Amino acid sequence: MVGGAGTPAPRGPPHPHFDVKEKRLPENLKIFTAEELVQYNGAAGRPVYIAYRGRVYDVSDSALWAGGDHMATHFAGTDLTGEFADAPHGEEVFERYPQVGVLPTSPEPAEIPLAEVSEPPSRFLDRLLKRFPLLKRHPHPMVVHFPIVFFISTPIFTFLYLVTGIRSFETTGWHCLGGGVLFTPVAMVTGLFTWWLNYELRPLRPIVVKLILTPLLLAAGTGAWVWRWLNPEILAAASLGDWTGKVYLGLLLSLLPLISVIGWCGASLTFPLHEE
Amino acid sequence: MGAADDLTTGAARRQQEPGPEEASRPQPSWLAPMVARHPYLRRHPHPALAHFPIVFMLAAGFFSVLFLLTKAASFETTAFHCLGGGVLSTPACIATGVLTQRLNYPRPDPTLTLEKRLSYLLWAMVTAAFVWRWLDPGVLRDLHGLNFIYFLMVLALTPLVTVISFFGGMLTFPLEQD
Repeated sequence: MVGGAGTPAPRGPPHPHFDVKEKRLPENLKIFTAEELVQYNGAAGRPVYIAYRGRVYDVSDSALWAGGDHMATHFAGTDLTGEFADAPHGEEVFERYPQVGVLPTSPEPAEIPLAEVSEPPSRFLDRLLKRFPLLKRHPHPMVVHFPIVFFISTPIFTFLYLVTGIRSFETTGWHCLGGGVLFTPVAMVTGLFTWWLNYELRPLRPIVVKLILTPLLLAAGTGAWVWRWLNPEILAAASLGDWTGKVYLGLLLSLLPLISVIGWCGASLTFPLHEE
Repeated sequence: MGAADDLTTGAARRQQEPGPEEASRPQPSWLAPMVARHPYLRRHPHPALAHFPIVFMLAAGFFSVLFLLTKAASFETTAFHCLGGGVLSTPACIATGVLTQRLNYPRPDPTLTLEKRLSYLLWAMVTAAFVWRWLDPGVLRDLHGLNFIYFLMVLALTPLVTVISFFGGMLTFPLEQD
């Protein structure tokens, strides 16, 4: 293996500051060119190397990079700096792998030690996440299923009622609205936790949009639910041409674009389109 | 590596391992140009659609229990409507899942095969429960005899859809990344 042969390679980024021009590198680190790096693509049993912000890491031991690609989207032997911005994990993931060299041609060489960026938030939380790793990323994606489906189902069942006249569809729409209202605060809390823990509160555009629209969604949903609770015949008023019914119907319909945009922002964080 | 680790990271690992059948699943010729033109089709349709059967199956059980606790008939009707939502959304979810597998996980994988089989079972169960409730609207009002099986069927949707979505969640956010 180039760079690390015979010498225990350092874990993570132990050499954050190096002067490539003067080649003052530790002995066990190699200076790569892009042409050299591409050879470490995992094919035919070759080592799996990736570059990020000027550092080259050996991820051969990672099951997620076995064969030389990651999630069939990212490929070994390349500089992943440009693909990392919207990744669902932070830079701390590189602490797990030995650095084997540097790539001076990287467009964004690291200037600060990665360890400083990704200090564990607290010892208690660190222990908790180690014991229950599911808590790190999964709670928000799991919880958001509920407001998404309930808020989409509300206008659908309401529309079914308006078309068919079957009252139970309207009631189901109201029940779904209640489900959306109940689960939205939980989704907000888990979302803020995920943002803090995994994105270091970075103001990424999709997150900012979610932060603005989600309270609006909750307000519209809660307002509509309470209104329907106080006046179960509100939709009958809509069919009679009463303005209150129309406003109520408008509130229900507004849930669709709101939840769609919020959901799309979340999806674009999980599966960024520029990686496709 | 323990069994749990294997469950959570195994699919991701196996998708990378070359196997004898690796070349046995060619992609249809129309797929690549379509995905190149609409890149969101590569990964998004299945996760987006999977929300619906998950919530409808869980909600069907929840509203059924709520009906038994409160005796409010509207909760039982909502549970029935949720079963209908599950019946309609599950095939769309399976179809997009197959498409996603073809595009992103081309190599045969036991976890994905299990997920697919459980999804067929889920669809069969939710369809049977929906038809049963449609033919006998009072099935949940008297839980004696066969009617209790209907209730168990509706309840069984919860663990079944949980297991299926757990596999999906582990593909999206493998625990090793954590």
